Amino acid sequence: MSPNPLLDRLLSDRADTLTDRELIVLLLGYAGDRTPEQTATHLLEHFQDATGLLSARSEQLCAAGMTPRTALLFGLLFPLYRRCAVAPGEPAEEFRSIDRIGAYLTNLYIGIQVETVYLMLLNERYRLIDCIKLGEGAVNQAGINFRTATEHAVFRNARMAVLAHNHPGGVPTPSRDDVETTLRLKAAFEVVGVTLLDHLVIAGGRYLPILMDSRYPLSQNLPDYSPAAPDNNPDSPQPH
Amino acid sequence: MSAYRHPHGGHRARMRQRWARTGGEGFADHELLEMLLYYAYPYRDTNPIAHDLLRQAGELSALADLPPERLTSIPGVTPRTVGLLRAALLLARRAAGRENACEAIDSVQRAGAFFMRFFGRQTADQTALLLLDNRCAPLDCLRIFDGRASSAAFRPVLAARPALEQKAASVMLATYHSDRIARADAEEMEAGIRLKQDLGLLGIHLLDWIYVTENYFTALSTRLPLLFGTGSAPLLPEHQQERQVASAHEPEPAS
Repeated sequence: MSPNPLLDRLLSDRADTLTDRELIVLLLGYAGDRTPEQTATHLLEHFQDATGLLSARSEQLCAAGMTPRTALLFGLLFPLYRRCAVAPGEPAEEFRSIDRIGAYLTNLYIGIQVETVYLMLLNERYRLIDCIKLGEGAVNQAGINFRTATEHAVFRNARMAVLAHNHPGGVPTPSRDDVETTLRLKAAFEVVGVTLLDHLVIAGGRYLPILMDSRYPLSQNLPDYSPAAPDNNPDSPQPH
Repeated sequence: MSAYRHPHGGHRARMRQRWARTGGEGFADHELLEMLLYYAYPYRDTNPIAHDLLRQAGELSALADLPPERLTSIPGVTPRTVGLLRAALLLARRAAGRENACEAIDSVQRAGAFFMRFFGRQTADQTALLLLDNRCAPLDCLRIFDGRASSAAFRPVLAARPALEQKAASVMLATYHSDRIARADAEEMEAGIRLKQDLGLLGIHLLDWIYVTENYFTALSTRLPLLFGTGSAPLLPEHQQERQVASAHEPEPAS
């Protein structure tokens, strides 16, 4: 019998039969843990499941008894996976639908457990220029500096932008502050000729686009951003 | 005698410090991969290996799904390296909720398919224990005994202890029959009945016992439907269950 049956299964077409716990045991072995079975049991009890384990910060992992070296290994996994998940399908992929934008931004927030604000910049062909982290914290506080956000958009020659922030609590319902901030940022961007397409609230693997959601009265006074509905402004990017 | 100095220790320390400062922001794909590879190569410079892996895969996201032989063709990349990549990306994918971590084992068919994949091809009899949560999702699967449970050496504690330690709501057992006959003999049926009663005293629900060969499987619940109830078996008359189970993978007819 192989000296490492778990590794054999992982390298075969039976990798899907490995449980999360077995994968954690394997990774602990790579980190040099001498009692990976016991450690895996302890970690899953402490963090509830693999999601909790991989979302934990380094200090939380160390507080649970991990060495810094092992904590670094587990801390690498979500950032590595996020990088895989947000890789564009093609270099010139166009983000012409709210669904595609929502999918991209939802992947960007995988494993992020603090409220974080990102600004997605697009060119006139709806292609991604960059996705910039504006800060951590609620949208109405340290999360957004309008001038900084505008500078990013102008200096990167963006024509369109999408704002996003997450609710680690798991419900993508925007607050009144979220809606008001969206309207103010939209007005600020219009001064420099950048269109704020929407502001997405991300939570629990779902997203809610504030400007497209008719439940929020403040947004009803604005022209709808709808990729399928053309507007009358000849300078606006043509929806597709 | 001078102390040994790790040839890449300074670089790794700087990378770790940069990671601690930034949490990965600003790291290129190859740098993330390079840091992961530290755990497969304690002393080697992993930067060139990271570049070679990305060149072979095309992009980071393709690494987990490439056949191992494509990656081990890269100089310096071993099966152990591939195992680290797969374990890391597979666990992250599941934890992100993008992939179910093993579908629920809530039917005889799924249990049989699971155990056939788990055992693969073996040359000796062995018994495995599958621990399930209250949604019949696998918690763990362990080889607990070399041989059949009808052996005098098999003890209920081999199944009970893991179930209690991991707080399993229910369990399934499976025995691989190296003689290629996936059917419980009388002794095995008795052992199954005893173990179900013993585990039941501890509040551990034994859902079924699957008998597996390389090519097909059968389930004890089809022979003893009243004892095993509706935990895993579909509500079919016994003869229909036998036909349904046997059709999953028919044994090759004797020549």
